[in-house]
Amino acid sequence: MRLSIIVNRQEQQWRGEELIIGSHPDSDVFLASPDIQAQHACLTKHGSIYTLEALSADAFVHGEKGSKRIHLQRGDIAYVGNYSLLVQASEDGDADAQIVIQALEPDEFVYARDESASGANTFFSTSKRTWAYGLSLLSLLFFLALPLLSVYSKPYEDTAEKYHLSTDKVWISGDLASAHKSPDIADNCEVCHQEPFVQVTDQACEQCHSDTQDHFDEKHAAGFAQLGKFFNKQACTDCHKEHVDPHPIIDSSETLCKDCHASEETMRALKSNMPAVSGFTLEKHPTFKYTHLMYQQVTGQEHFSWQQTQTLAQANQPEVSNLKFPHDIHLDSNKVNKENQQALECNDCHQQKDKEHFEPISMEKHCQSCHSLQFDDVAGERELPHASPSVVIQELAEYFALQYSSASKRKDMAYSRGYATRRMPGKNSVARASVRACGQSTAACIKNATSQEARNQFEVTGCVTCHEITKDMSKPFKERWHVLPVKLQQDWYPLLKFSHRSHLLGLDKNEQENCLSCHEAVQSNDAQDVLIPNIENCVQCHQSSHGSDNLVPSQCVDCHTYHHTLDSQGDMP
Amino acid sequence: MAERKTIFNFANWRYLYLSVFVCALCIGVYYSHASDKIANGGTWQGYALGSLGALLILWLSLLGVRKRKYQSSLGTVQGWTSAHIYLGLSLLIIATLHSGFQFGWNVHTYAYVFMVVVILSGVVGLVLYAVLPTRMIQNRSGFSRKQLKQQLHDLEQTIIEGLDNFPKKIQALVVSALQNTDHSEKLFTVLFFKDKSKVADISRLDDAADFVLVANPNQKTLLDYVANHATHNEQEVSVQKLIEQLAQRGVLLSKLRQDAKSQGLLNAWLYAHVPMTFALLVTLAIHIFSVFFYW
Repeated sequence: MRLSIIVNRQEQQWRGEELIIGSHPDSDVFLASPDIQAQHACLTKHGSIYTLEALSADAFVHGEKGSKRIHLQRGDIAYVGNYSLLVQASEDGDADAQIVIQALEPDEFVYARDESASGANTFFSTSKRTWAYGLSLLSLLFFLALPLLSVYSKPYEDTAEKYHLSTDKVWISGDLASAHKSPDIADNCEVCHQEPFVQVTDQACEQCHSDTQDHFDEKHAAGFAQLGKFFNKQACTDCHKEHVDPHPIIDSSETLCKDCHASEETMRALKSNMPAVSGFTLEKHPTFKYTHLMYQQVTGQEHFSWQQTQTLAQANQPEVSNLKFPHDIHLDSNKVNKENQQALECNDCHQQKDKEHFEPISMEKHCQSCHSLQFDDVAGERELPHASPSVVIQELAEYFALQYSSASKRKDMAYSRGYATRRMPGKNSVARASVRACGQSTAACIKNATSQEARNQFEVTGCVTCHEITKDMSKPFKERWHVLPVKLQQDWYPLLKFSHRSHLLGLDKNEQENCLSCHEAVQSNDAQDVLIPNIENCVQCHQSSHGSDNLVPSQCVDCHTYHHTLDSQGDMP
Repeated sequence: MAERKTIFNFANWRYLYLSVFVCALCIGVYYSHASDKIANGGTWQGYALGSLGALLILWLSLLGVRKRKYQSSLGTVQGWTSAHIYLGLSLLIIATLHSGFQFGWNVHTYAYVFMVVVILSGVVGLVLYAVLPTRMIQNRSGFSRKQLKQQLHDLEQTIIEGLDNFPKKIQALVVSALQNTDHSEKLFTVLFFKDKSKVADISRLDDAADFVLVANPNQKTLLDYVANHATHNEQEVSVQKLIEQLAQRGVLLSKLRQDAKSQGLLNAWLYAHVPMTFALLVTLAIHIFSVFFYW
């Protein structure tokens, strides 16, 4: 193939099989243009047809019919990069054809280089809106749709648990309080959250806590309504905030109590006669009230009743238990000893039942080992029953009836037992007296002995040592003496919490000394003394929280109960 | 000299003072929790702080709306932006107080973290928009990006037209450099990759029919080739001119690259702050929904 080639009006002759057009220096037709590749295109001839073929993917050639591979005849025009290529008859007879290659004007060039291949504005292939919706959808899916699905679809919830997918647990703002963290409750939100968008109701709590008492009754609730207090509906959730672990679910804050109790006005408005309390110091807290057990004799009748009555400590109201008991003598080792010659200790009689309370004192357990009811030396260990005077007199009568059934028998028995050597100090020997003096009829002897011993027991020594006994001579013998009923107060502060157990711990004192540091038993010579300490004793170690001194910070609920059982007056001591 | 008016000192720092006041008020509300009470979103203080925070987020997101309402007379956009910045920052304090410092793996903390990220992205944007626009104008010597591109185009045209006087080798080198110039404008590319421009290897030009390309960062390799060639060439004047033109082209290219970097950062910021704000509104709604669903 021989060609006459005119490039930008410069003519050259060429001979060969393949005409290579490119920007490489070795090209047959060298075109210095960025739009021309090193080896851009190749022109070949088959018969009268010229074929123009692009040599690389980046190389652009195109004609009227097709691109990349174009068949040209004389008179046809094609484009190579930014050049036009015209095939025409050669004026020079030797050449097969004349190829005219000419640079195009910029506006004629169709395949312009992509100047703005990628603008900075298309940094992201997606729009801002897509990003916004995408992010929102993620939130909606994981924090709304799937959790909602887990609420209403048990199968999904099970699957989600298994594969750790999103459930309504992502809505939990904090761990449950430990008591509520049982599978029954913790795995079923709806146990408490019974209805969507409705705050947890008291009914939900009462499924388990049905016996919990309200803090105040209807009478006070009406007062709350008048005050317009937020607290008036008294919902469990007002104070008990769940899902705030590690904070306790029980609100033990002083402010909760002080909201109402600090102001006497508020308390009055709430129809309570309780004094104002604003903390735990002598100034801020009223003195304690004992709950006295009051013994009342109904006038004109032989009825007695006990009534719990609150008394201010200052009133020095004596305890009327109808029992005689001097603590000082019992704690004095010179006067009273145990079998091992040791002094009595508090816990010999006051045995702890729980950390706060003590077992009731009883004659049989706590007194009788020393104060036996033996009444007759001759009878040895025989004791009177710890019963009513009529039963005691009956017992005495029967005893002496048996003794005097045969004088000789009695005499023998008395001597054989060696009664004289075993005479109890301060006691008459019924047996000896009877042997000596009873020369009358058996019935008279029995009566005398019974009467003498009864008088002895009820008036001199025996029952009367511990009991308060009245005598009414107008009544028949059997009903002459009356032992006043005995009752000891079990709980002086029945609505307060106080742990004896923790107060018995001490660095430099033993248990006994710890008891005596609050209860002045050693100085008490009368059972009427109330040995229960008052606030002055407590504030030596305790004060409201946030105080500056080195005292045990104490909150209201450390001693007071919130869900207490209301007493008959509806007031709390 | 009067201080220049900016979005920071707008109206004598009005919104800074407002935000400080709002924060102080919120801290006061927070500490009205009795010292022995547990502070969280469920106390009256918590509800109050939460409501304020939610309203604030709603209002802050309205800046985008206000910006587009050119005819609005509801304050100037500058004033809105100033308030947006200071009140947006105060939201960090308000929302933290609302949380009562209780955090966990749940939707509530997720919403909180989301909000913090949006606010922090706002701070980043503040820095970017304070620094980059001035730097971009300096970089482009006052021309627009389009004008710079036109200059580059014209310069390349001139270079090509003047190439006829040079040996084919030089022509081919310049052409290969033009063909293989790295015009990347994508932020990721300009930020993390160097100029990947290439040029035909002069030493292997004769070995192969195609160009064997070598790295040509900032057109330096090409300049070296042309400069070295000039010592063997008598047309020194025109070579000098070509070198100058090529150097000038290199400068233009690096300016465009720098400009793409800055513009990309500004755009990327919009892609972060605005869509995240939208998603934050949705997440906030989910937070409120879930709180009251299990009230």
